Amino acid sequence: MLKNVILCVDDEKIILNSLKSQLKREFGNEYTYEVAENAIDAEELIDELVFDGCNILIIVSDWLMPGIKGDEFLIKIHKKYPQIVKIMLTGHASEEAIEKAVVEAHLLKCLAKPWSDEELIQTIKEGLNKV
Amino acid sequence: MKRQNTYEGDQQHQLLSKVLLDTINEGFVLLNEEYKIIDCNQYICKLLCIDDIVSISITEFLSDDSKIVFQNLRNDLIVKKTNEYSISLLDSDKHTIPCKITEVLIDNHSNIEAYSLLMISENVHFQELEKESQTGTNDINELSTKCKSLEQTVESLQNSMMELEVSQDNALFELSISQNEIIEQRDNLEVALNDLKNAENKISSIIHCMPDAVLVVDKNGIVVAWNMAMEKLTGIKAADMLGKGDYEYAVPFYGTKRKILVDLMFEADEILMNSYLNISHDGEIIRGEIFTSLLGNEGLYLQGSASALNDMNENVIGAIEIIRDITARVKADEKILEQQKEMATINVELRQTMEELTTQRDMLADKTTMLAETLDQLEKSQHKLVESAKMVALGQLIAGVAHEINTPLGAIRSSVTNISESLENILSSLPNFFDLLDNNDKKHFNSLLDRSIKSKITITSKEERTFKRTILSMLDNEGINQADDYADTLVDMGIYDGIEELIPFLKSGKSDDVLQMAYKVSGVLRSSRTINIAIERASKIVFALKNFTHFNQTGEMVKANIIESLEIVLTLYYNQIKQGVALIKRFDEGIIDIMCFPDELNQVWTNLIYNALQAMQNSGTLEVDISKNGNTVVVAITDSGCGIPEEIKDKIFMPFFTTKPQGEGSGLGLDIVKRIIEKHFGQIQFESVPGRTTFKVTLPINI
Repeated sequence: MLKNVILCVDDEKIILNSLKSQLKREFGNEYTYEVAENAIDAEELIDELVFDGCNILIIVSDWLMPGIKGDEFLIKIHKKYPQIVKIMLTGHASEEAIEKAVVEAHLLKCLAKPWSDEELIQTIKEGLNKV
Repeated sequence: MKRQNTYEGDQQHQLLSKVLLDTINEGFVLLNEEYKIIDCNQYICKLLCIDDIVSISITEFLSDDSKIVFQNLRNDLIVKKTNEYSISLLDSDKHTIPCKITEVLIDNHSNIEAYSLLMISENVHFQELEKESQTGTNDINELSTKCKSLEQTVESLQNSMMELEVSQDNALFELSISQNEIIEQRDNLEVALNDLKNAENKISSIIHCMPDAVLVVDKNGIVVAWNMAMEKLTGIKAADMLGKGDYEYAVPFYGTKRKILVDLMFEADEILMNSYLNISHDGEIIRGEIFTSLLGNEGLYLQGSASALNDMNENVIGAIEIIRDITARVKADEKILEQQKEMATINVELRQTMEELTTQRDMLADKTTMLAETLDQLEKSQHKLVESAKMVALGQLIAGVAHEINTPLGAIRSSVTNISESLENILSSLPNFFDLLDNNDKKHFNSLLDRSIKSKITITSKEERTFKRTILSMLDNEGINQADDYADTLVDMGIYDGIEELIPFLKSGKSDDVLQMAYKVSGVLRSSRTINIAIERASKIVFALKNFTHFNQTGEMVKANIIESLEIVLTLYYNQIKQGVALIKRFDEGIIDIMCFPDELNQVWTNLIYNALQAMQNSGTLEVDISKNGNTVVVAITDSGCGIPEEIKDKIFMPFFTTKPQGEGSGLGLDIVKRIIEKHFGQIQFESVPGRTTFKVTLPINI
């Protein structure tokens, strides 16, 4: 069965839980929601999911994470999977990093924490439309 | 003379002599010097018809003519000793008695009164002649007339003679006077001549010895003086020059025979005169200067003073030139001139320098003003920098802090939405939902809800995925259609085990609704828990921030606990530390509060911990040790980073020294750290090898 996946990457579990609840509440079982707590885990998961034949539609990633930062992570994924829509969701990110992600990872949008339900859902929908 | 000697014999001899004398037919009269008769014989008394003639002057018995003869001859007596002459005596009747007289000077008459002896004899022949003449009276008269005329002639002759004598005397006198005058004049002349000679000698000596070189030439241009100084000046001896003419004297000076200054005295020569420098006229003297390369080592400057020598009639008889070596003066003048030129140049330079300086001063004044402004700005900037260094430290924190605060805020907001949305959904569907459930369904619902609420195990997303995969596999094996959704929901609800018990229920028709409702209801609780966690996290951050920047308005030290101080900073760095950094805290809990500036110490810990994390690139081991050592508290912060390179170890405390790329670090971090520690009378030291760097701060407990 071909699964359409929305992947959330954040080093904070409470964020991942909240995000997933939010997405699930909005989109229900239409998509599969995957979460990862850092870039390395996320990369592994993506490869795994792709290997399993999943279709990763959107990645929502934090910026400030241990190890690899959000922009670097998204750029790396973009090189491998340019079709995935990338969204950044962060409490703090340098302008440079955002600019870099926009240029090099075709970042759809950078959402600021704390985010509103509407802007998140709207952005996700926007992303889904691009797929 | 014989008789005289006899007369001077004894008395007898005298008597005899007297008799003899009286008897001799010749008169004897002894006279003193004043013609007075001292003694006489009888004969003369008879002759003169007078009894005694002693004490009577002989002149009483002489005619007037005879007196003169007698007196005149008497003067010669002292020389002639004996005189013989004829005179006439007068007897008592005044008859003339011609006599022949021999007067003899009495030698040695000084002892006696007698001066002379007259021997008188009657001139018989004269008497006879008289008698004859009386016979020839006419003849005599003629004769007497003739005589008288002769006498007159004689007399006039005598007068003439006398006049002549007088004249002669006068002449002689005058002559003698003249002679004296002449002698005197001659003497004077001699003296004058002598003086002249002396003067000449003196002048010669003076000229010879004069310190200035002197040349004297006569009117023919012949050298007559060439003094010692001249010899010295020219090297030519006077002997070789004196008497030479034809401008020979010019040779030592000009190397050729030519006219020189002294020649101007004989003949005006405009060209010659103009060949001299500084020509001046001082009365009769002409002065001029000239340079000659022939004298001295490097030539000499000479000043000549020439003057004509005139005789009494103002005729030029020669000329003198005095030559003085003025080289030293000229050189000095030249030097002075040169110095003056130099001075002028220096003056000009000085003026230029002065102007430049003035300009520079003005510029400097401007610059000073600018500098003052710049300094002011710098001070402000420095202040800003120090502040900004604090801000950098704070700014570095802010990245984390913003994230730290925004993350729980995001979670809260999201959770609140979830709660409100879920509640809205639940509340509207719950009554109907329960109506549709049978008891078994209700039992499963309650069971699921209870298990979800009681699930407090915090697991990672990775672990969750593992659980999900396990559950999915189980459900797939049971042939449940919605295995994937069920597995995901169960894991979300925190239900990881006892799945087997749920399988019958999950296979039932209402399982989906029941599970979804349980998920929604428990979701409210999970969101609430998320909110609680988030609030707790946010509160901790806010507390740390509050403590980090608690302002000390009094500027005085306060008591503060070092451990608390470090805990606050570590909290702020929680975000960075928790990811990949192992934190080892070794705190001696017995540490008492110390007097300090807590906010400044927080800055120290912030800097040191930030640097440690940077050195490790947020991956490694961070050790924080707080211990007591005597009267000090020692805080050691150790990282497992790359270490400080040897070459920069002595620079790390220098202001503005940074190893970070431009814009990232102010370079003031450790400088400020050091200042703050010194302000606390503490010390900071460090040890660094790759893999282990320790910064050790020692603070006194009692300040």
